[in-house]
Amino acid sequence: MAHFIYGTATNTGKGFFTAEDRREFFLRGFPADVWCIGNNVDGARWLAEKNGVEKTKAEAQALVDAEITAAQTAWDALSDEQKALSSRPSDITLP
Amino acid sequence: MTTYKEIFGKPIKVVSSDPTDAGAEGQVWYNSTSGTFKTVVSVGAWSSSGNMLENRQNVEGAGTQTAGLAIGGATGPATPAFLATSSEYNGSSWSSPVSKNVAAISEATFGTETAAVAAGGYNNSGATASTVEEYNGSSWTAVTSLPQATRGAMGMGAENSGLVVGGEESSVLTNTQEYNGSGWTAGGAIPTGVYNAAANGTSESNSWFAGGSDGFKNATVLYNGTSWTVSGNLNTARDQAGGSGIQTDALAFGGRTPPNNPSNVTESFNGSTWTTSSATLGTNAKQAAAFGTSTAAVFAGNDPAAAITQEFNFSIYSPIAATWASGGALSTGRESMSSAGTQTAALAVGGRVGPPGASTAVESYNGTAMSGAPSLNTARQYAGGCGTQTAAITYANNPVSGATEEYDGSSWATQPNSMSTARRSFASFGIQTAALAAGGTTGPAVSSLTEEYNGTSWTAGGALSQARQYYAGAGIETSGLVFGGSDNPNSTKYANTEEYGGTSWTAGGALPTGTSGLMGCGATQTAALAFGGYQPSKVATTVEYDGSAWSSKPAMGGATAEGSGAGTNVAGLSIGGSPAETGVEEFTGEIVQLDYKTLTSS
Repeated sequence: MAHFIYGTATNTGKGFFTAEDRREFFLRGFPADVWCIGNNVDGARWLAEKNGVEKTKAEAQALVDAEITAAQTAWDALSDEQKALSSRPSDITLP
Repeated sequence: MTTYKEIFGKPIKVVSSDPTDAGAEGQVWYNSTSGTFKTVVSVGAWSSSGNMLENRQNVEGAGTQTAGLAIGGATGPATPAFLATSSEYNGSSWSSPVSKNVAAISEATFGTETAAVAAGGYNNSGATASTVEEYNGSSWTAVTSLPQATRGAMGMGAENSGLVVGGEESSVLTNTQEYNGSGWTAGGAIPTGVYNAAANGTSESNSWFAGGSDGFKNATVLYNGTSWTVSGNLNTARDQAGGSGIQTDALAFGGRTPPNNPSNVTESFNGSTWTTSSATLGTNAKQAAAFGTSTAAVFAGNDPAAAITQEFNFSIYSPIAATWASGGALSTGRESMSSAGTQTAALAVGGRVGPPGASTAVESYNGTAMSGAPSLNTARQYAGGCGTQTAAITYANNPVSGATEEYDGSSWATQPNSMSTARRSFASFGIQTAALAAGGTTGPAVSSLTEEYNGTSWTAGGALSQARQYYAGAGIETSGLVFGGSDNPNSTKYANTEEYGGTSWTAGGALPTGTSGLMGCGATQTAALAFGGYQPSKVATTVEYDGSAWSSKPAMGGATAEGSGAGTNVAGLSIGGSPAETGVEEFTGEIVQLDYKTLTSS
């Protein structure tokens, strides 16, 4: 069985993920509202309760890649002075 | 109580249900109902909290988890506007931004929500700044400038006992600049120039910083009010991390690790050694506003700019998040009805049932199922109403009307006195003997007029600032509010909130998005929910009002508009919706309970 399930869900703020959630299952957020979730009953229930849309890992990675590419393009368009204030968004590989 | 020792020779209590008081921390007991050994211990974890009202990166923080500040920053690389604002955090939501004098990123900040300092940074003129501002809880005032301009410096301490340490100008700096609330003096230099480190402290003499740049450092340095001492290293070298707590009890979290990766790692510090925590940020984050203590911290924002807020809590309590769940459906699908009562004792009154339109049907809800209740004397739609399941009132209609009916738990009675201004599609709240009708459509026009009902007759109330229709209200006559709505012909959607104290209306915090056709509920002006509506598409959005600002709550199960709301902000009810829906949803607010752990042999 895969260790993780992947999905998209909008972070609505307080209560979106709780301390209890964090203790019950693995959860990590990525750009493009992509979430990597521990593959157990609690994790799957969390995604469903958040009106999340389950994705394959490849689909989730593509969403992250697109978001990062857009952010990199935006960063590349900055002036050198502005670039000095933050680092170029780095590529992310989902676990 | 039978004890485990009496049965098994061991001193462990046997109980049929788990204890609910904080005194259970550290105890072990046997739950005879579940057949398990249990305990309660403090555990740290990060959770999501209310989003900021704008995306921020390179933002700084000050204060505590329940009274904090996000200061300055930028809106992001795509539109790198520097923000000349701060926003207050109350532990669950953020207030509307307050203007600063200087738009800057990477300032050194310290202090409390009502006595904060922001110094230096990189301003929107492209210069490393020496400007300093103080915040008193309501506004920012320029004060004595830094002797040494700096950006990315670490800010620590209190307004009258603060530090600005290191940073960059033409080179990486080793300066310590001490602030006493009125002027700056030189303190002991740090061993090596550092910027963008995790840092915190509540006074000069308990301040610390760890990690930082150039490169990815891991050293921790502590200040005694005069000089700096190097202490234990972070296990994860990083810069742009957040820090909370004091030099004997601190946290470092997030930041950037080589070559350029945002981190979710949290470490705790006991004054000499850092220990990696099992608690990780939900979303890897850097360049965010950090503040709080080692047991209650906040990290808000991200790079690239984001509005997310993450909270760390070390507690024996575990909140159960607020949620919507489906309830028992209406027998007759309907929209634009009025309602009354609570989540477990409500009425759905009249409404539009599709062709032929207005209905006299009333249904009663017991928290589980709907059942038929005595019908209205007059079929009504787009009416208002309030009260309880056994003492309700409904008023107005479409075509516009001022006619009023009262319910005593067994039948509806048409009242001799109608509203002075016939209307529909307005906001209503209160009880049967102290009800309010606000605004709505009075024909071709949208009105700002309000009327109050005292159980016998209607009299004029204070006029709304914003005439509107298709909106919602909550509370009671002396502590009510209305929110959202639209103009006529429904082309502009309003976000503004108005609060009523029984005489006149004052402006409240605005909804995040202009919304019409939304529903609302709540017992008072400081505890209300708004949900669903059109933005302009139908949405499932839920937000809660605390008397000053709206914060996000879990969305409804389905997008809904033009239904009706009942109950409170912690036990709410959504009934029906357009087009003539039968759906009912129940909202349960966040519940905080002890975080029980079941002990196992493996």
